[in-house]
Formats: sequence, structure tokens, C-alpha cells
Amino acid sequence: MAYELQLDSFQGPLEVLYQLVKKNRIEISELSLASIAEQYIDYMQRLKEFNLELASEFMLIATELMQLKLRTLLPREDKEEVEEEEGRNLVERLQEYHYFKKVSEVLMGYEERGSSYFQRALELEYFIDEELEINLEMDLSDLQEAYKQAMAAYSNRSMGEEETVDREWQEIKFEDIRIEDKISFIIEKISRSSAVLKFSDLLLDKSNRLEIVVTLLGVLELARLAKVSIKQEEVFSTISIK
Amino acid sequence: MEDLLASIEALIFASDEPVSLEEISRALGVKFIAAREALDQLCTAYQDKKHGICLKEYNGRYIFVTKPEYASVIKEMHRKRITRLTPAALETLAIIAYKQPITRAEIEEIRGVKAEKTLLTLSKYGLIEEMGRKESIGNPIVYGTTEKFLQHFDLEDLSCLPEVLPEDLELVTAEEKEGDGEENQDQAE
Repeated sequence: MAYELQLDSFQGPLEVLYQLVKKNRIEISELSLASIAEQYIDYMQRLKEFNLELASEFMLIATELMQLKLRTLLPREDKEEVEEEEGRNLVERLQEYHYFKKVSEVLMGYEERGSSYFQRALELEYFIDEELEINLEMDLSDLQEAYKQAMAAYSNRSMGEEETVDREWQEIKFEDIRIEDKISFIIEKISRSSAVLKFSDLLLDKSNRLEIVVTLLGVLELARLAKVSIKQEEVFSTISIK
Repeated sequence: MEDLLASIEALIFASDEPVSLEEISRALGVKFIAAREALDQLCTAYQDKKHGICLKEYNGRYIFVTKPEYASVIKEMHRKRITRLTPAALETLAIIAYKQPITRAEIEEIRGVKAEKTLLTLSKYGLIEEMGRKESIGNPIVYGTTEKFLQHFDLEDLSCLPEVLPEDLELVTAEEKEGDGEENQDQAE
């Protein structure tokens, strides 16, 4: 006889046993659990979602169930001894499981009640990740500058798109940008100018992403070798190199 | 007195987090008893039907919240998202609430499944927190519930957690037992 258990989401061996107890409408006792041992093992064997960790959990409880079953079949002389060995037995565990099921039902009602109270909307900062800081000490010129930068980036991008109108056929060029070449280029550039350079000065007019990355790697490598010093006031602001 | 009531009202209103009696009496430079008395008066005043908000106490801390009668209009206008816990999360939380401080292994022993992800979710929502470490092998972290937990379930403090009576724990009612006998016999045949 097949027993189909309807579990909302897979919740482990104790849940399976608990559902079987409810389905069979029995009490939680050694005798009753022994009576559903076959059903449990039957369910366990047909379980598809079975990883090693869960399998051992399932087997552990299956073993306990078989012990209970055996005890109902065999005359028990050394009953007390056995129970002391086991510590918390299956009956106790299942009773506790059942207790928390019941408590959760009550708490669900409390949750419903709690959700009908609203507190004042919290300040925006509350939701912002602690790692982020927002610098609101800006004046109008900063805003204007940010706008200009954003628009410039936008127009660069749309110009780039026009160049490659033929979207269907596009040749993917393998670009060979060597970090060694970039480093010597950077050194040359720095030695030729007396003033502090900006990171953007190191880039050619039509640098692509790869070239920017290699240039940045070059700068970082030079900084590591203590050939140059770099400075950046804030995240995303201009990087100065000398 | 009027002044004191108004000051306390302003203090609690301006705070994101519930405010304690200690904080109030310290901030206003008044005695504990005076603050307590004023709080009681404020609480009573807000119970009046002309107010849409009321003063709530959780774990000895006070906060203004809207009255439940107006929950529906608030949900309607502000499209407030109601967070409900899944049964698995709720059961895990219940175990923590009743058995705190409790380790992850102890929770898993009761639930029969891994609890790692659920614990992360509950921590993320601020319903539980780490309460230090247990003095046993490996010094495992122990978990407990937060004040936000009390607020989420509208519990004044942990002593208000519901008790389940033995009769509510009966899996099979007397009637069912009688009816069941016959049913089982049918199945056996």
C-alpha cells in the first residue's frame, strides 16, 4: 500500500514521522511509532531528493523505529537498561517537535496581531547598507559637475554606438595589450610631465575597457614597486599619479 | 506636568527605536517615578478614540504605533508590505524564543533538519541575535530573540509567550479514537 505524504516543503525525517503520526491519527508513544515503522521506511525508500547528509538523518531515525518495532515483538527483559543508553529517545523528540508545532500555530496568530500596528516610517539611512556612506555635503557646483560628467559619459557612449551601426555583423578583434608595454608607456608619460597626472591622462582618446583595465593594472604595479604614488580623495573621484 | 507630558511625547515621537524609561528620565532630568507617572497618563490619553495612534510598551521601552483599527487604511494608502514568516522559520523562531540561549546544534536536534539558512534569515530581519558563546566543546554561538521579535509578535515581554496546555497537545480527540477503530478495521480487510 502506497502512502502519499503532502509536505509543503521538504522538512526532514522528523517532519515525515510527524506527518505519518497525524495521518494515521495515532498518539506519540513507543507502541504507535512502532506501528508506522514500515510506512516511514517505505516513504524513505521512495524519496528522490536524497543527499548523504539527509540520508544519514533518515537512517538514524529508521534504526530507532526498527528498535521500537523489535521491542514490541520481543519479550523485554532489559528494557530499562536500553532506555538509559539512548538518552533522548524518539518519543520524547517527537513530543517536543509536536509542542513547537503547536506553539508556532499560536504564534502565527500573534504575528497577525503584531502586523496590525505600524510605527512611523523609518529614516532613509536605516535601510542603507552600513558599508555605504552618502556624502550630502554638496553644493550646486558639485551637482553641476556631476551632471556634466554624466552627460559627457552618455554622449561618448552614444557616439561609440554610431560607429558600430552594423550590429549584425561585427568583427571581434583580438586586442593585444601587454601590461609591460603599458608600464613603459606610463613611465614615459610621467617622466615627460612635471605636474601631477590624472589617471585619465594615461588613457588614449579611444580606450576600450580592456585598455583601461590594463592601464590601471600598470599603475598599481608601479605603485607596488614604489615607482609612483597614487592618490584618490574619494571613491570614484579622479586618481592622481606622480 | 503638562510640560512633562509634552516633552515625553516629543521624545518618543522623534525616536526610531522604542525609548526606555531610563532614557526619558535621564534626558528630561526628572525622577523615575515622575516619568513613569507621566507615561501612564500619556498612554491613557492616547487610548481616547480621537487618536489614531497609541503608546505601546515592549520590554520596558515605549513607542508610538498606529492603532490596529486603522491597519487596513494604512495598508491601502502606503502599500505597506507585511512580512510573514514561513512555517519552518516560525518553528525555528519559536524554539529559540522558548529555549534561549540556544545553539544551532540544539535547534537542529529538535527540528531534525539543518537550521543555518533559517538562522541567517531570522538574523537579517533582526528577530534573533547572537548572545555570546556557550562554554562547551567548540564554544558554539548561542542565539536569542530581540526586541524586534517582541514587537513583531506584539508581546510586551518574553513572559507573555503563549503556553500550550496539555489538552491542546492531544493529537487524537476522544471522538476520533472511537471512529478510528472501525475505520482501521475496514482498511485491514
